[in-house]
Amino acid sequence: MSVDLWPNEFERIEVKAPVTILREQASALGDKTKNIVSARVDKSRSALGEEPFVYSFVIEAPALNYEYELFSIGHDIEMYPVKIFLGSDLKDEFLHEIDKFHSYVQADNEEEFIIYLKRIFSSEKSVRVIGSILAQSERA
Amino acid sequence: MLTCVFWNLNKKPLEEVVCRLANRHEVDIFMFAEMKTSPTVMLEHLNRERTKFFYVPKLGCERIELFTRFNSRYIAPVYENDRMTIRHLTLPGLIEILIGVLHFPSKLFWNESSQAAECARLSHKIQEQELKIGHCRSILVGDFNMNPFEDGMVNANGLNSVMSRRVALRGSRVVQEEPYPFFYNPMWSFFGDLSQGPCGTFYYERAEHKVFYWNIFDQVLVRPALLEYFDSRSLQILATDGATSLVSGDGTPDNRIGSDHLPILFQLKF
Repeated sequence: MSVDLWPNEFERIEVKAPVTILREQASALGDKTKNIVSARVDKSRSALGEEPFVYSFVIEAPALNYEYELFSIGHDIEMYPVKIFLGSDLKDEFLHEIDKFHSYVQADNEEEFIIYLKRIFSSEKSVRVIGSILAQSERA
Repeated sequence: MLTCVFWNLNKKPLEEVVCRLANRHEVDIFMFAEMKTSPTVMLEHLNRERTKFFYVPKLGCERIELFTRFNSRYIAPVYENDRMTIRHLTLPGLIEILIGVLHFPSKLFWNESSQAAECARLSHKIQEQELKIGHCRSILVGDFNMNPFEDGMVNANGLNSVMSRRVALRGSRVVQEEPYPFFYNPMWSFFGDLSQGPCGTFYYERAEHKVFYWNIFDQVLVRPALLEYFDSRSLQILATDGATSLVSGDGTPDNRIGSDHLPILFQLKF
């Protein structure tokens, strides 16, 4: 007779997954711009580093048929810490936190991740890109 | 016929040289990396004798600058990240083409493995756009900061670019039951003294064990579906603008007159 070796209960992790937070923010961008600019989260097929879960945050302009990949994240099965891979323009705005040989910042928990996201969304690069898309979408 | 030039300007004010290249080769599309000159100044120079060039406004990718002899609406961006812009060329009466222009991370900051990993992502993005647009008539051009023989350029899950037109025309290759589409990389033919012109586009010499001296970092890759329009004989590494040499006495890029990279020119014939 077989024996069940599993514990009676599994501890449910109460943190919000980084990808869930990204999807919420993607949706919020659409609401904020009346869907002139929206965003989506793509699961990347290949790894940026060694993390098995990699997602890209992609800004979309439906009227222009245009997409811009703003940044990517990568994490292990445990979700945190999460690495936020920044393009070189965004990286310039975070230079005091990362040296030139690394292209990511690391959030150790959900709270830190949200703080970084807020900074990325408010960065000069993000504001400039979304502003350009809005202007061009209105002319399209 | 469409004449295209890519050049990493190394942040130098090379408007006069660019003008001479435009006139000498009747360039239709200029693609620049590391352009610090204001687009207005470049445009003023390009249109000094006759107004013919348009500036293509940037959206998200700020590292690549484009100037064309046709309105920018015919070269709309479809996908960008901070280092690459993929544009859909829709000139009236010509076949539609996807043109990706990129400036890849330097080896100063990324090792070959990181570059190869990023090439896998890049390749996936290009295939996504080809699927979305509905054709594979794509060209990828730029400063790859890799030689044609490096992992990112040749790996199946990277850019899968091959030196032979005949091999590329097979369309794709299968690894572990997964098909990977080819790019043709004609830049292989420019290595060494037997090539016509410079032995590469970038010269690097340092007292370490492994040095190639000449590198071909600036490359153009062509999908098989576009090969019938790509004129291999037109492809050149430019060593002069017609009036001034871009290389010094020893044949290496003259950084005092031009850039530390040499421009590449290619033509599509319709």
